[in-house]
Amino acid sequence: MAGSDKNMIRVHVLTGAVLTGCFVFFCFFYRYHIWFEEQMRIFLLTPGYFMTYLDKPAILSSFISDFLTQFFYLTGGGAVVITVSLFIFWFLVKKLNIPEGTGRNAALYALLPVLLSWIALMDFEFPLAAVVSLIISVLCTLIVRGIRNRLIRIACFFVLLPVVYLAAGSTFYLFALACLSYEISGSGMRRSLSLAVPAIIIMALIPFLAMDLFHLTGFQAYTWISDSKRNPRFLHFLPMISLVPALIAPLFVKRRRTQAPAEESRSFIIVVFAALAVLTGGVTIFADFTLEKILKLDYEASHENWQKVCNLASRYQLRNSLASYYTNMALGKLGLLPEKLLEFYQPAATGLFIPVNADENYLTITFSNEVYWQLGDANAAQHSALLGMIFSPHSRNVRLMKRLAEINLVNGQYDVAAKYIRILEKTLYHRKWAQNRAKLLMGWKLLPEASWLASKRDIIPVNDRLKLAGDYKGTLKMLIDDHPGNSMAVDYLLCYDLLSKDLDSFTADFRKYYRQHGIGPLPRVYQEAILMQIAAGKFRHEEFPDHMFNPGNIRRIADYTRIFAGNDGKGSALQKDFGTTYWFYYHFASLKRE
Amino acid sequence: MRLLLRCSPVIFLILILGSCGRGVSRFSDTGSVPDIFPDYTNVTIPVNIAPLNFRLAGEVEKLYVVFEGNKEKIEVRGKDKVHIDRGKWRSLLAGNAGDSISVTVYAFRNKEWSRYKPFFIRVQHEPLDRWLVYRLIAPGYESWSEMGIYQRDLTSFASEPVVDNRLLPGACMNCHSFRSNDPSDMMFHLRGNIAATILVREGKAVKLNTKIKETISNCVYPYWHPSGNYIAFSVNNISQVFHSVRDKRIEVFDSKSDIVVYDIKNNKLITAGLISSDSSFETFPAFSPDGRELYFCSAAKAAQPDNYNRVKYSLCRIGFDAGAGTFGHSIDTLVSSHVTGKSVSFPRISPDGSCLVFTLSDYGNFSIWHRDADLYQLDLQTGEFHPIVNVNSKESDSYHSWSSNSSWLVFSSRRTDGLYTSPFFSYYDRKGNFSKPFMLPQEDPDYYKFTLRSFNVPELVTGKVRNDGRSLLKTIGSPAKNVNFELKN
Repeated sequence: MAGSDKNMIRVHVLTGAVLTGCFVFFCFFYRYHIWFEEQMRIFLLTPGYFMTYLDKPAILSSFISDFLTQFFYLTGGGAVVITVSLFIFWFLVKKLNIPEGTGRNAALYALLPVLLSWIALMDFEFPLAAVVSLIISVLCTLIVRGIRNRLIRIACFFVLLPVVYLAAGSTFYLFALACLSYEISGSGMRRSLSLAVPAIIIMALIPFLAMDLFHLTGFQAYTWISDSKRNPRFLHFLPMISLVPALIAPLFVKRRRTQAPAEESRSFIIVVFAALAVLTGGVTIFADFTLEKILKLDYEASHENWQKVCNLASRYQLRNSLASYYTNMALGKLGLLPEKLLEFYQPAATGLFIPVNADENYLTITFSNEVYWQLGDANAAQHSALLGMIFSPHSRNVRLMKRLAEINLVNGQYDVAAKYIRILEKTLYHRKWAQNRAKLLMGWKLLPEASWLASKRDIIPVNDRLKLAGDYKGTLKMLIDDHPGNSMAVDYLLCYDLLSKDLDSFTADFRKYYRQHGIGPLPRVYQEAILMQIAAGKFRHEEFPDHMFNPGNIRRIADYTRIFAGNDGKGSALQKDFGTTYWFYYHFASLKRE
Repeated sequence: MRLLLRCSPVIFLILILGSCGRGVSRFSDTGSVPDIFPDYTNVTIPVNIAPLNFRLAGEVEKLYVVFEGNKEKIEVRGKDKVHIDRGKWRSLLAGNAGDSISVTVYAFRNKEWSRYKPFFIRVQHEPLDRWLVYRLIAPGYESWSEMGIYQRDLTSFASEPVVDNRLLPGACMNCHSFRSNDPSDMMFHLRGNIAATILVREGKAVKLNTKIKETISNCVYPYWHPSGNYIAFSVNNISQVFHSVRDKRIEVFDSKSDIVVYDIKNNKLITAGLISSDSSFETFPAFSPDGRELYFCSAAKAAQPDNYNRVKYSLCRIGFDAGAGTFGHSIDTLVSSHVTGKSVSFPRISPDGSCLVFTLSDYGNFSIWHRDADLYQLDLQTGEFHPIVNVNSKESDSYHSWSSNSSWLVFSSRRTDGLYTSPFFSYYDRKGNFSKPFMLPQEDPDYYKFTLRSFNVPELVTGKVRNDGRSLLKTIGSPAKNVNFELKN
């Protein structure tokens, strides 16, 4: 086998390995990012929906990428879409044959923008539309380059310049540069300038005109990638920039000689290591595996797999308020919140609710409605869900639209519910869900599917009160006042007091709201807090029958007090045996500012 | 035979075209008026409005609709929606101005045609001002993301942004206002990271900082004096709280509010004790068309939010001398909350001065969140007022403004679904009658069913707003001019 053929096989194996790695990464290590991406947008199969893409550049790439993002809903769908997109990108860049004249290295070189795109795609902010835009630009370059007649080729180039901008946004620079370098390479100075100067002027002029046409700022018009990312970062341009040196190199460097087989092997090994270094560096810097775990908790919570959320939280032991938020929600649903509260990281009370305001990002605002929905405050859930949708890309979000449809069904606001359901009926993968919910618009009492609706209606507030958005305790008290049996709300209220170290409120709220079921001991964290309050004289011991406390706990508080006093109040001596007690939390956990 | 084959596409085309032109010959009568969206049955429209495309409710395989005037008719076919040719529509309206056109809908279902009872559309000579300026925003409480002020050509379906936050990321823009429907005199507020008031007078823009120590807040709800020399504003401490029960969402209330008038020439805010009293809330100013009176809403001060549903605004009026920039010495109460038991907001007087329309709701002043909010008309000659039955709905009917010829009222209503606001137009015949309103027509009749944004503050203007956001960027980026203050009387 000739050396060059061997090298070609090696390059293709390497490409295959990179693409397989990409598939494996997005399918198994980043699948919840992918799933969440799909949830954050919506794609409708209606002509009117396509019209919404016409008022900004990158029309085609945005439309195609949103169409493709639908398939992220399927298991492995996102990984397939990304891998196939990157393969197409690689294949087309390879066809560009850069660096000019060294066909075998072109395939290898084409891996660089693919690797950088992969890395960029790990960033939530980098839209798939950017990769699609690059594909469109390279494809148009190849079409133009494929025209044999120079005059027609140049004419097509000029005609396609604005078209590529409209279709693919600022990646049209790549198209312009690739076509220009092809034309200019080997031409005389005069001929080159006569083409390059008008081309550069037109290239600069197109975004300038787009400012008025699309109502954009100068920065936006010159850097537009997609409507999802109106102010992109440098990282987002790296895949495109990586091609620039190779595109302009032929203008300055003479054609390289063909490499000897030994040299080829050496270069190949260097490239493999370089690729590995780029990828490792990219994954280390840009992949967010903590967020991936949080998104997994979110996924399981959204499917109401509460036990699974608890198991995952035990396994991950994340020190993150979003992780605490989902863990506490799952514990609350399982009735285990006061029992296991301090077995998990608790950033004061911020692990119970997520603030909803303009300072939060759309990710957290999207999450924020979940706890209200589970607790039964449909109006607060609606407020959070509407804000989450507003801050989503394009202000459209399939997950929150579903939630809003459910909220309005529960609230009996059928016309609004019908609006959301009607929109969801036009999607590919949420149509069935919408059709099922649409039945509830007719007569929900008759349908077995309506049991969730009835159970939600059983806990939503019935007496009107006014409250501020961040009035968590007001929310919880309102829910309990209207439905004293809402044990999740009771636990949330008492744990809110405890995590805020507000023992006086805990005492008052416990007396007012807590109703014990059965005759067993109180949940652990309540026992510990009550023992503290008995010691402080805020509770009388007679208020609590003996069976409410584990005898071991009474011994333990005595031990805790002895060690605490014997060590001048230092926590290190208590950490090991008492690290998960409320006493330790009360004395040593420092409150985080919300 | 070969010739026949060659000609077959042509024959086929002729047959198709022939069948299109024939209409429907065999059908059964339903005996009812069709259920269409938007509801354009028996509405009154201006001669210059864009085609009223609509959809027939329910499952339907084919549609055939005949719009018939005195001399001409338009036949439209569709699946379940009607898209009317703009040229033919314009000609039909022009030929039937002052008269009615009948609309007959035929629907094809289960292999047979059925014909609905015709409905009528009355075409008025008086045109609607050509442009509608409105804010598009998701009904999303206190925050915003994608939003902006847009203008729509009412004779077609063309719309474009005046200013939006694609151009000004992170900013919110609101309270756009024009002097007597004139697009060259405009103002709007920017909120968020670049808070200011942008004032455009005869095409020249200036950025104002209206928050001064003497007033409660930045200037809020505006109304231009017809001379163009003043703009009345309210200054309000606005708060937002949330209801807990399912049929209510939000409560927005003022804990303080006064009225000030911005003297454009002298760059100062002027006010008087009577309109900036500590013992009452004053808001929603509006000048009379002759500029000699300032109308506003006033309520006795009460602690908020405890009394949120006890604060009820009356409609009041005070004299204004534009030459001296002074206010009258007494206040007239035109609609008292003690009489109505309800609360007035948004007084708007027709440019000919014949009719005042206001919104009346159970309490408070943020009527868009009140389902009970309805439009009322006040006869300025007799002082009598009553609900405008023809235009009100069971959902909130709230913000409204007049066309420059006093023939048309545009108002926001949540009647479609109870949450998303849409603009409606009603004809005023100057004898005290308003016609059944029609919804702003869209090219795709399903637009309102799929949009996730509300139309806020619809304002009619006679021409296109030329000073759009792009041309205002320099002004917006410049330092704001501080305004001065003077207490009159």
